[in-house]
Amino acid sequence: MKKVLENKWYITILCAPALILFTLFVLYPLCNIIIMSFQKTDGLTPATFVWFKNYIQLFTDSAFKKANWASIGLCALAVVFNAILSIVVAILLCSLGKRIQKILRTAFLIPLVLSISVISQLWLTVYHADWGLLNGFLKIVGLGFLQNQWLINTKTAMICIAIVGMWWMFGMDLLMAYSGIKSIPESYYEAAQIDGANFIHTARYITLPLLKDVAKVCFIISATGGLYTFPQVYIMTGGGPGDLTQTVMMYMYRQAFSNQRYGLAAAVAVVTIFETCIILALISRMFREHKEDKRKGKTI
Amino acid sequence: MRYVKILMSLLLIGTIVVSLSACQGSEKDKKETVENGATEKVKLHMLFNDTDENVQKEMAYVMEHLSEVLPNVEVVLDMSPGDAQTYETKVRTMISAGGEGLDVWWERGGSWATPILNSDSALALDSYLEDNGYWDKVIPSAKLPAADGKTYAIPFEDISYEIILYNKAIFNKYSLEVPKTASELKKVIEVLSKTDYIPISVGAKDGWCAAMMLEGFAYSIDPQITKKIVDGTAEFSDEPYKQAAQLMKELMDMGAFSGNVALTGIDEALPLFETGKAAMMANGSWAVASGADKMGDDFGYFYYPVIHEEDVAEYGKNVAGGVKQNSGMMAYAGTKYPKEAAALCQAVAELRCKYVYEEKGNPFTVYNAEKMGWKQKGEFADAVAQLASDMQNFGFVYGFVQDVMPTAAGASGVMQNTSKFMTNTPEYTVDKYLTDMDDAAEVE
Repeated sequence: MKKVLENKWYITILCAPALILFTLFVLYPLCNIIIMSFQKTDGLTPATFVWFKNYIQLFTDSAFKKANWASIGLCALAVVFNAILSIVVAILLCSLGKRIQKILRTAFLIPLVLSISVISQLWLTVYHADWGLLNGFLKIVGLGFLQNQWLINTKTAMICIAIVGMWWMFGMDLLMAYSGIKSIPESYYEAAQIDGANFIHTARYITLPLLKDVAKVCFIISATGGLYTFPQVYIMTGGGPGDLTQTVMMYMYRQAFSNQRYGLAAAVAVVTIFETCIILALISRMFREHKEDKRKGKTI
Repeated sequence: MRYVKILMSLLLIGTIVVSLSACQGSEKDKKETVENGATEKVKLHMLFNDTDENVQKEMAYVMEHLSEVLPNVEVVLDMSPGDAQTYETKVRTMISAGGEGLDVWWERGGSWATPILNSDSALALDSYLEDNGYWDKVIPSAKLPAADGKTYAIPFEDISYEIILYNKAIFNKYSLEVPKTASELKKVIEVLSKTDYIPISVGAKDGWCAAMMLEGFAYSIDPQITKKIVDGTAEFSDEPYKQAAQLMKELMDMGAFSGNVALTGIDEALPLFETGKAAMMANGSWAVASGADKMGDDFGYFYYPVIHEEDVAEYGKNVAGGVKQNSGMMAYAGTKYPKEAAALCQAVAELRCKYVYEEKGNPFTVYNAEKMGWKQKGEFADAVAQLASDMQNFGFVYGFVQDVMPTAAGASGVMQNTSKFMTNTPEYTVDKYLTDMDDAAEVE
């Protein structure tokens, strides 16, 4: 086995299938999209190069800016309420009895196993302005004055969309955090207990540091999930009314399939990929700083 | 050992090559003719938009009788669910993939057809139609060629107009008269808004329903306004649409629509009307036959009330609608069997229209029923007969605003802006809405 892994020829051969597939289904479409972003095309007629005209059009379009900020906002909300909150909930969950852990774990995971189409329809019945469950509930408990056109009101529409996505994906982050905590050796907690550490101390000095890698993954998944919010927007509101609940993915979809502007849609994709790289770099930097501190601590 | 290594490498490469080549279709799949005894049948693939149960029944009838009309053609039908955008995306994707599995399809027309025609992906049907005597079977207005003068689609959808459907029972209950002017309409809404009924049901989420309402009111001031906007000689912010938008704003403020109207699609709005929860519905005349069938004597319709009292003599004279350009059965230009594909287009259109005429009591087809020898089962419903008679006296007729916009982006902009307008928020004023509509009309 060592001989195989030392031989570069073998490594190349064995990696070849995955590399070929990666090139065909990731790199090639990516290059194609980048080229298409400099073209004007409706998908059927021959494409013409317009160079940076698509990008200029994009950055001068108020609808795109609005959609982009909405998506960045969803990204931030997802990081806070999915990644961070799920870690907190996982730590609390692990401190409960085994039976309650099982029940709560299952409860949190149920939305994750449902299809996003089902979830979107479900939340539509909750948010409906005329006969929705939320307005009905508010009326019953005497808070009728809080009734609202949840998905039409500019102040509440995007928050309502965000809640759907966060509710759906919370279980994923919780599961990862929970698994990460369970993989921490019990002996650490026993030692801490002997030394008189309480719940806060163990969480702060044992659980969180050892959960850093899992937390990084949760952050990345939540951030990209929030940025790429699309299915629930498409099903619940279609990005409307108008552009009220439009995210950057919905904007891209409309440009491609409603407006038949594939070049512009490709430019949106390139910009979004660039934003994703920035977000991932920020997350990596955030977690790397602490590792550098740790290394400095070891050398002292 | 060396030879073992070489053999393993070759095996691995061979596996990759075989896996990739398996992505290609097999020779068998490409065979499009089917041996059937002595005669060889031509196999054609047909794509259709599965919009509702009515379409499903129509196509079931078509497929049942197709072999009688075209015995040498075997049709593989693909009913594709979804709205027009989803469906047209599929059509364009199949065309850009080389037309594999696509010989004939239902083209929704309007700005959807523009890239298909611009890319020469549609088969010109003129010569085939002439040979088959098609123009002798249809009414003159069915001849609506594309910009280059050629005919690419055989229309089969109902000749449709913008109307308002209403529930006679609800109107009678509150002693309401059919409104012919805007002020009369407001009086009707004033009464209905105090009841549990939704005064007007509109699928504003889809945009086009509400855009049709605006257009319907604008027609009373200048029936040619939409055409002028398309021609570039007028704007949405001119008086006709401006006054129509102001009227719509007043109606919204009066509670003429449901609270969720901006997110109510046609699939929710229509059942609201048909089940008696809404007194009126903004829709097209394609709903008249089915509405009369479902609601019986309670079903009625009227034309858009005129905005100014002095124009009441023009009520019901000028109506948006008619045959939609480049809409109907289209054949792929790259089909291997153009003659059979053209014949299939014609057969589907004819059978569908025959079905709706004879079985559904819908006379609003492009075919001359008398010449075709079609006989409807029973009498036409009153509303249907009335509309068929009214159609003969319409003055100016032009396509729906969402269908005649020069670009897909323009059509999309018109629908989205109108959908947003229906939220009736203080931020989105009438002026802002009209400015956005003008921008949509000018977009490339």
